[in-house]
Amino acid sequence: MSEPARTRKPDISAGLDQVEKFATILLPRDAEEPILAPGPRYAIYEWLTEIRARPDLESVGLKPRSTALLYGPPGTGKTTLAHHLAARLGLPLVTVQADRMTSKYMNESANNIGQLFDAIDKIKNGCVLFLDEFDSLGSKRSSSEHGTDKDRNLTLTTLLTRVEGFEGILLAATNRKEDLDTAMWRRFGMQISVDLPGSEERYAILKRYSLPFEFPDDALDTLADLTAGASPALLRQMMEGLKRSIVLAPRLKKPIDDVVEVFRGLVATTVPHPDVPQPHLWKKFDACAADLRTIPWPPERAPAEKKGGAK
Amino acid sequence: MSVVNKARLLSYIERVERLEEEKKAIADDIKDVKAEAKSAGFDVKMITKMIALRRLTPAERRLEKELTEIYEAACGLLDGTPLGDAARERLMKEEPNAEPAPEPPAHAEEVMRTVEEAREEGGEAFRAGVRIIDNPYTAGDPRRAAWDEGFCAASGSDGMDIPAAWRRKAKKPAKGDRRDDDGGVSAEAPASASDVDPDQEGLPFDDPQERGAEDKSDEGGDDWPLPPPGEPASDAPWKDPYAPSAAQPEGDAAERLDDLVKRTRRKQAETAATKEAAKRGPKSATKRGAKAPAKPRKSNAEGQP
Ligand SMILES: Nc1ncnc2c1ncn2[C@@H]1O[C@H](COP(=O)(O)OP(=O)(O)OP(=O)(O)O)[C@@H](O)[C@H]1O
Ligand SMILES: [Mg+2]
Repeated sequence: MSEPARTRKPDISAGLDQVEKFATILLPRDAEEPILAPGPRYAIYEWLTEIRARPDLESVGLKPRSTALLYGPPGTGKTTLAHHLAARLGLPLVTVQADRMTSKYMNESANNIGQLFDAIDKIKNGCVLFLDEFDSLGSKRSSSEHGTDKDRNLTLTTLLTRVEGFEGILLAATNRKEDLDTAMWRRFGMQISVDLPGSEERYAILKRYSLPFEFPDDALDTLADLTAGASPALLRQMMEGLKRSIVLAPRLKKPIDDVVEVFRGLVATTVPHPDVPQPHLWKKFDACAADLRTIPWPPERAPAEKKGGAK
Repeated sequence: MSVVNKARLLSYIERVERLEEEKKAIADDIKDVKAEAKSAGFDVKMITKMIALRRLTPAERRLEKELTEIYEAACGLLDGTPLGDAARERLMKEEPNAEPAPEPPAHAEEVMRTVEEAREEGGEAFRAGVRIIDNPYTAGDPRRAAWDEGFCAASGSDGMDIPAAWRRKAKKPAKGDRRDDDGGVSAEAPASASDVDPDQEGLPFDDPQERGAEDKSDEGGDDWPLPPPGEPASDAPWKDPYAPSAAQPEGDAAERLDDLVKRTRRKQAETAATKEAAKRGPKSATKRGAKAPAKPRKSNAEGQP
């Protein structure tokens, strides 16, 4: 034994069973590195530094911020980023699907929120709380005195006070920031935009999810251009669909000789979220055909030892 | 008893009482510190052991280790591993012609890695292609932060840098994104976070060192020099007290000790012979010969069947 703290790790999952009713637990080791623009990356890094400097901050009467709101289009990596942050801290991410907290019964949603935060407080070794689809809980207050609206306001007030007084690390995510209550919005120590990827990021995402198949740089450039406006989730889905069709072609007896036809099939079955602008490849597929034909087809497969290496 | 004596007696009693109270308060403080260490993921038993070891001088520490191993061997507690260097040297010392033992390795001091060491480890981890989330230290341990910071410093990034293997080889000419005819899509604008500089080059890090493609391919970190969490280092100065103990070898303890001494002496004679030969031979042989006795222990500990 060279290092006691390493051989006797505390069980970071202790107490998590109390929140399982509402939450999914994501462990640090399962986190992935998000591919993001410098903006959100820097915000997260700054926050990490702040959390670690707690004693220094406390010595001047400050505390690290404990809450952040991630907002941006669907599939841009908000959940992935929250998971990564938790993993950097070595803590489990307690992911709460906010709509699982709501209930049609009077006061029930507010009660659930209370229960959740109480249970989180009891987790001995700490965790990062992540409220996904946050807009379903924190949407704008209503001035009406109607029963369901009153209940909604109670829910929101409960949430406001619990978020404000929260001592741990809390992230919330929404892709409908317009719907969020303004007071709720202000309660967060940080508002971080996780936007659609730029060209550099798209290139990296396409490359990452095309492995172990290898496309030349020019081909990836072409694809990155044609998919401007696509979310990382969509790019991943597309590249994984591509790999699937290559691997399954012989079994399905579906020829893959024509690159344009393969992409036509992919584009038809992986469709971007209707709320976001459609990337070129989806909007005007036929106009992209000529560019697609420049991609060397079928792609080469990387040597075996590289397989799955860069996940 | 006179009045004066009585007062004096009471004052003694009260002083002792006060000291007893202080003693209790300090004991409570110690308990608190240990509880804090425990909740930060440290093993209190080991901390107590370290404190005891630190109280000793290096010579006393060495003696303690030697005797522990010899007694362990006698009681069949070595679980089939050979005696360590210190114990072997001690056994050899009993031979009149044995040469003086070299200075003991300062294992005890190395056991607890410092924050600075963790920082270096983090840098090493980056160079070895380890993922940043595979930080070996527990949440809240200051060494976890140091490891992460060391990793970031070595990578010249925030730890979320796009690996070189996934990046464009050469900077793409400023072709820009293909925009929709109606100007609908403009994904190029970077995230406009409220409190964030949207400048693409705005990260406050040194130029990222190019990380070779091969670094990325073994991301599992098989060649990472540290033992995987939960496993003691193969050359641990002592055994993991929590490791499931292997079956004890059969036989009488005294006999085993005798046998051990005999074997050790034989080894020593061999070593001396090698040395004698080396004195006449080339220099490199001296080195190998002198190191010979330490070898079997290491390979045995690493490659346990
Ligand atoms: N920035 C990214 N880098 C790499 N992969 C990403 C990134 N963003 C998303 N992905 C991939 O896309 C999938 C969906 O991502 P994720 O759930 O993090 O998005 P989200 O922003 O939380 O979406 P939603 O708003 O729908 O909840 C994941 O499988 C993830 O691997
Ligand atoms: Mg999500």
